[in-house]
Amino acid sequence: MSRGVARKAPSATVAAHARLRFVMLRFAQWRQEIAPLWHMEGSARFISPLVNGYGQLQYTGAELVTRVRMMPLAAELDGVRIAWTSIYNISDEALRLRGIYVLPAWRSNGIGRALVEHALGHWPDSFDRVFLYARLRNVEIYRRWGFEIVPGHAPRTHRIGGRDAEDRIVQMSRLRSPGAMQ
Amino acid sequence: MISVDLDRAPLPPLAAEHTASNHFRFGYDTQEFSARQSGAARYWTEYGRPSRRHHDFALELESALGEIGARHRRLSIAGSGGPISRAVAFLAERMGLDAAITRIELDGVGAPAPSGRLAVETHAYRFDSFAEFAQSFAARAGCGDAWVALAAFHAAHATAPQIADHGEFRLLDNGIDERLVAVVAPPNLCLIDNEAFTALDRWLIAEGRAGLPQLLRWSPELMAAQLDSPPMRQWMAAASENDAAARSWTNRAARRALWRRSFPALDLLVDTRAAWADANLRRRMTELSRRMRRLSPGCGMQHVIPLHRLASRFALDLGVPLGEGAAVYGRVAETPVAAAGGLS
Repeated sequence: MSRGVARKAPSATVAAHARLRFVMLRFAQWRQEIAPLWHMEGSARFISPLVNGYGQLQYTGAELVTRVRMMPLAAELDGVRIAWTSIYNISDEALRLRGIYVLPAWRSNGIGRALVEHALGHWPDSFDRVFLYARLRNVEIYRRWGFEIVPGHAPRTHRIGGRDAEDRIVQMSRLRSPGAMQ
Repeated sequence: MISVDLDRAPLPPLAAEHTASNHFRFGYDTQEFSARQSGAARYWTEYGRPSRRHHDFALELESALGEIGARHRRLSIAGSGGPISRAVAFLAERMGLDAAITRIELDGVGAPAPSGRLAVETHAYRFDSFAEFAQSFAARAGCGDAWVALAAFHAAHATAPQIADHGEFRLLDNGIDERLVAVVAPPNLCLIDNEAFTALDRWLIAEGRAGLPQLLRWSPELMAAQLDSPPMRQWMAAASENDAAARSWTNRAARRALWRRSFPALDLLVDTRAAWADANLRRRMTELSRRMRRLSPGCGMQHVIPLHRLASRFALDLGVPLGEGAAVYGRVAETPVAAAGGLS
């Protein structure tokens, strides 16, 4: 892993974006890298290859292997990894973002959103909507990215590695096109 | 390319019939009837399609036993007190099958012996001896559940293919937060297949033993009969009407109601662990499960099948909306079920 030492965020965000590079990782490597960073997910073995977000996945049986494409991704700045996410299809029409993490020194620079838009760009237009589960403290961030809480959904508890996580989470979605509201 | 990061030997090919024509399949990534060898592998389960209209649950169970009896001259029944063992013992006697019951006692505690004329063979052990077996079972089968190990312990004492008192038809409503005990989303119903549910299959394959570890999944028709039964329909209807007071997270009560309705002469419990009522033994089983999980990391996943897709697989019109499913999360083009024997 080429995480190195996180440097302070530069004031010239545009310049930083020009130096950003997005890379696709193998899942085993991705979960190894994010395990120490994710809230309460200290061990990579608790990070399963697919999470189902309370019944989002519409594929069944061997379709999970033959039809679900999982893309673990990271953003690098000057060769140093500073952000991670992953994306996979939950049906023939919808995508799920799973895990969006930006190192603290690089937050509020648009890097997470840039990584997410890059991740979405890998998919054909037939995938027209995207879902994620957000911790409540991050809901406003995702609203700025065009996501809204899915109608009828309220905050719920969630478990990580067999333990209750301290935050509540809620399902959000948006149309695939950047900025489009549901 | 299969990635391997767990210290677990691969399984030999499945040579026995665990369900009718092995229509019920499970696997990890591209390998079926296999063991988890990587924490990153995807676990899946798959069901075949029915070849006829199903009957009710009791008749389908009897039909399954008839087929199993025709395949095996003699049968063993795990007498661990759950509804499967008691109903099967009842039916086997009525059908005149050549069957005997295997009972286990741990430190003098065991499930009550079923009444009837079938022979009962009881094996008494100290709990520590069973715990040793359970820990080797955990490492071999990838399972951190002492109750599943107990099912395997029964099978280890069988002198004929054993019908395990194991497995359940677990439905779940994702719209309920079970810890908040509250409705947090519109209904979204699914069938849950925990990875632990197939651990007994893996152990039998590893040991080269014949056995019937998934009686409730014996045929697509038997599965359809459970899904299409009045108690399950009532559970689904309560969820689909978004009746917060009547909605419950799982179909546990409906499962018990189905057993009782199907075999009114037997006072059937919901599962095996309910039959082992000794508080001290249950505490020790919980502690043992904890030790087993440490020995068997990364085997706690589950496969979730949206109920609308399962109903479609079984050609059932259940007459109730089954939740958000395709309308919210998108459609999936149906593909033919791969023939038993290999993924395409």
